[in-house]
This record gives sequence, C-alpha cells and structure tokens, in this order.
Amino acid sequence: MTRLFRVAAFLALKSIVRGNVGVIVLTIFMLILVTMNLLFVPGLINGATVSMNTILVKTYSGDIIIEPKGDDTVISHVDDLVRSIESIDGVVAASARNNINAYVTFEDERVSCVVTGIDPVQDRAVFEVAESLIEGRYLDSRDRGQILLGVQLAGADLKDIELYSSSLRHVHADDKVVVTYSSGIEKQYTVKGIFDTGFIQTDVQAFVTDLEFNSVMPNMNNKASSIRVRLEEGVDPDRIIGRIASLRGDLDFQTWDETAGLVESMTESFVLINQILNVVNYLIAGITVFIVTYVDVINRRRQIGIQRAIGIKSRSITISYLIRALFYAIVGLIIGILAFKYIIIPIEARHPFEFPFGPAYLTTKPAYTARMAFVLLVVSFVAAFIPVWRVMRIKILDAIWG
Amino acid sequence: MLEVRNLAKIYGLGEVQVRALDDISFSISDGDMVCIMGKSGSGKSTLLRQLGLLDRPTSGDIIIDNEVVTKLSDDARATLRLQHLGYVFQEYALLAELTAHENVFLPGMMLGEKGVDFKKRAKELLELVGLGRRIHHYPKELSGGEQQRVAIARALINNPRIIFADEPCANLDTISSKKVMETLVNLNQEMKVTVIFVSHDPDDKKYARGLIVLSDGKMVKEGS
Repeated sequence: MTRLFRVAAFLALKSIVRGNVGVIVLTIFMLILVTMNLLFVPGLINGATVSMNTILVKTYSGDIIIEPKGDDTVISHVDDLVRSIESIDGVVAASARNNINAYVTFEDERVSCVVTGIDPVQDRAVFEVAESLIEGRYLDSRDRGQILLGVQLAGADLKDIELYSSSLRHVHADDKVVVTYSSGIEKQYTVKGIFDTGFIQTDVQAFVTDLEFNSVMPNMNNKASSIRVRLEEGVDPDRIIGRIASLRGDLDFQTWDETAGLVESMTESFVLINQILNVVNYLIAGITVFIVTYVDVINRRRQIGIQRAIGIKSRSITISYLIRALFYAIVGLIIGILAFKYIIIPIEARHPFEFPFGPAYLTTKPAYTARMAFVLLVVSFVAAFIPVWRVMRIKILDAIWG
Repeated sequence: MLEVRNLAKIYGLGEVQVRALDDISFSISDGDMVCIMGKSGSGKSTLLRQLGLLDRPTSGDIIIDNEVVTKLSDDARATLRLQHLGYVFQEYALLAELTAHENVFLPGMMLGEKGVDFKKRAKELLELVGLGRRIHHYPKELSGGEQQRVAIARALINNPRIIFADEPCANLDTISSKKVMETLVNLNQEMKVTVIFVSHDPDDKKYARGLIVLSDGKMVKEGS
C-alpha cells in the first residue's frame, strides 16, 4: 500500500511540476473564486444578521424584557425593582416602559401607534434611540407636552422610507401634533425630535416622558408595562434572569432573541438562498475539476496505457490523479480563504454594504469554513475520480494505440 | 520456460472476423533469443502482445514456468509484468514528463524490492546502454535510438526473466538500430535474459538463435 501511494505521489508531483502551467493556474484560480464565493454569501448573511440583531437589541428589545406574569397587565413597585435590577452584577441599566395605544393626527393625516412613556435618562442608558435623531432633540426628564416620533410615523417628507404612505408624511421637529389616547384623552404635543434607527419596528413608535405619561394615565404611577434590561457584553442572560426572578415571583421574562421573529424569518430566508448558492458553487467546483481531469486523462490516455503496460498499478495511477485534484482544491482553498480574510473583508469593512437596518460587515465562522473546505475537497475528489476510473477501464492496448 | 499452446486471437464480432493468430504453438527455453518475423499484418505484434500479457487471447494458453498466465486477473497480470517481464515498444513509449533516469526507475519504485536501490540501479542500467551522460534528459531531448535504449533500460529495471521487444528498430537509422540490437544481444549473453523480439527485417535474424515466422496469423516456421 505504501508503494502504491509513493508511486502515486511521485507521478502527481511530476505532472504538477512539469504539467501545463496555464491549466494548473486556471484551475486553481477557478477554485479560488469558488472558495471566495462560498465564503462571501454566508459572510454577508452573518454580517447582516449580526447587524440586525444588534439594532434590535439596541433600539427595540434590550437584552432582557420583563413583563407581568399571568393575567396582570402591569408591573407594580417598579422604581424599587429597577434599582434592584441595576444593582445586579452584569447589568448595565434597566428602563421601565409604559405603553398605550393612540392616534396621532397632523393636518389631514391620522395614524395609529403605540405611545411609550419612558424615563429619558434610564431609557438612554438601555437604548440608543437618542443617538439616532435626524431632527430636533431627545427628551429631557422634566419635559411635558413634548413628543418624540419615529421617522416611519412622522414621515418627515422622506418619501423613500418604507412606510411613508401610511405615515403622517410632513411632520418635522417643532410641529404640533394631536394625540388621541385609547382612554379618550386628546392632547396637543410639540414634536421635540424625530429619530431614525433603521429598524422599522422601533421607528413606528412615539415616546413621551413618564412625567407626561402619568399626567395622562395617573393610575400608572410607579407601574410599568415592561422593563427592558441591558447587559454587559458576554453576560449570560439566563443567569441574570435567575437573579431577577429570585427578587420577585410575579414577573415573566424573554430574552432578545425570543422577540426576534421578523429578524429570524429574514435570516431563515437568507440561509435558504445561501444553501442554493452553495450547491451551485459546489457544482461549479466539481465540474471544473471534472473537466480539467477529463481533458487531462484523455490527452494522457496513451501515457496512462504505457504506465499500466510497464507494470504501474491502476490504483497508483488513479490515486495520482486524486492527489492532483486535492492539490488544486487545497491550494485554491488556502489562497481563497486568505484572500477573503485579508483582502475582501478589510476592503468591505471600509465600504460596507448598507442595509435598511444599517451596515453589514462580512464575517467568517471557523466551523462553517472548515465544513465548506471539507465538502469542497470531497467534491474535487469525486469529480476527479469519475474520469480516471473510466479511463482505467479501457484495455491497455486501446489506451496506447486508441 | 515459455510455452504457447494453440493460441488464437480473433478480432471483430459477428460476421466479420479476423483471425490475427491461428492455432499457434511453440516453446522458448530460458536464456534464448528468438526473433518473430513475418510480413506486415502477419500477426507478429499481436503475438508479442499476448506473450507480454498486454492483451488476452481469444483461446489457447500461455504458460510461464508451468503456470498458465492467460486466465490471471488484470491485477495479477500487472504484477507478473512488473516482476518478471520487460516490454520494449516500437515507438519508445517513454513518459514525457519524466527524465530518462525517472523513466527507468519508475517500475522499480512500483516493485519496491527490499534492499534494492532502484535509483542507483537505474543509473547503472543507463550506463550499461551507453546513456550514462544523458540520465537527466527528457525524452524529447533524446534521439530515437537513445529513447529506445532508455526503454530497454526501463525494461531491465526489475531484473526480468524475459524481455519482449516489438520492432525495436523500426523507427531508427542503421547506426542506432545496430546499437539497440547489440544492446539486446549483450543483455541476452551477459545477463542471461530471454529476449523475444519482433522484426520485419530479414537481416535481424543474425541476432537471434531461434526463429518464428508468421504468415496470415499462422506459424509457418519455427527453428533456428
């Protein structure tokens, strides 16, 4: 067996070293392109997913969402609870929120939305909405009669935003809007600012201070519809949930990923697209190796016949072709992976792909890269084996003299 | 001892059949040097290819040292070729990507006999056939005669019992032909290798001690 491999390796080495340089370079180049293509789409999907998840956590859900348990609609004694949560090691901040359904009216446009009452200082420590203002200013704790609108709600004359046709269309900072709460109370507000986080579910929201909210809903003092918690990087949410649950038994918990329904369905679609593209890429790789090997064995049919005639075992000759195919694939993989990591990713990082939810940066996962490399090697192996196996079935004399 | 019994090779299927070899029987002793002669199309090369185990006869047997080799598997035939037989083709049949030295030692590498330095032996064989200074040359850098002598050295690498040479001088000039034939004679006389060669040149009879003459696939003469 050692002899078979030794002779095979010798034949493979000689045919690579003394083979047609153009064919070898072109084959490897094709496999480099296939490798980069196999890395590019999942890299982009990973980047987009990370981007979506980040914006979801930083503008909409926080890391943990605490809600009342069972039939309760509000969490009571919120002030103490928030203080206790913030004292837990690993928690950056917590923000109590109150929601109420309402209609917002401006000129002839009337739009339904959820108005959320927040403590601007607490909320700013949990979310990054304040960093996404495109007009006006963020709320102050003592603000009354002022409202913060998401861009998908205000419209702000930005006709190319996704929900412009169902928005208030022309609202800008310092405009007056009328809010009609589901409780029947109607009140005029000055638009203090308009934010555009890039995440539609956040950008259809309206915010007022808890001071303002309590004036409209006096029975909600020291109560909240939910509490949003932000954690330090890398902290296990389940550990924190366990700690908070030990404080009170009337709370229900969700982690951010449990609220990511839209993001998840988008990711699933991306993954399906990626799988289809991967199959196409593997086919291209297989066909490339097959064609190169097929043309090669046809051109060398006589040489193969001579090798068999002088006593070189068919298995050795077959293995030599498989070694060559694996050589092409390995070199293509190494160069492709290195080029992707050290050329494509840095270039893309400087000019990232812009999605509605923000920039997506290409990323690679070692486990995916390893799996992709393994599949590509197997595909190359099989693609090389078929034509060689067929030529080996030809009689020696037919191989030599045709 | 090489023995051939009622050997036949028929090409074609159905109604059109060509009997390339028809009921051939003979035997060749160890250390002999035999020339197979005949006109073009008489079946000389076909016979040699059956003897060299490159092809399978339609019927009949080839027996080497009391073992019927005709029915052996492809793998067993390849092993037999590697261990005991050497084959020299009419058109040199060297591997273009290998040097003269590599062409010669490749079958030795495949056999991988313990204690045998096949690279050293390949070098010695190339010196033996007068190509000691050309060992690192590629086939395209060698003349026809030199390529044929490399092919002879390759056929000798595994110390074969029998060398088959299929019109080894067909594509060579007179001087090269003489060198090649003298090389085969020397091998036969000094190394006691059985040599069976095909030729259509009546002058080549002088190199042989045995003669087989074919005509239309039939053996018309056997002797010296």
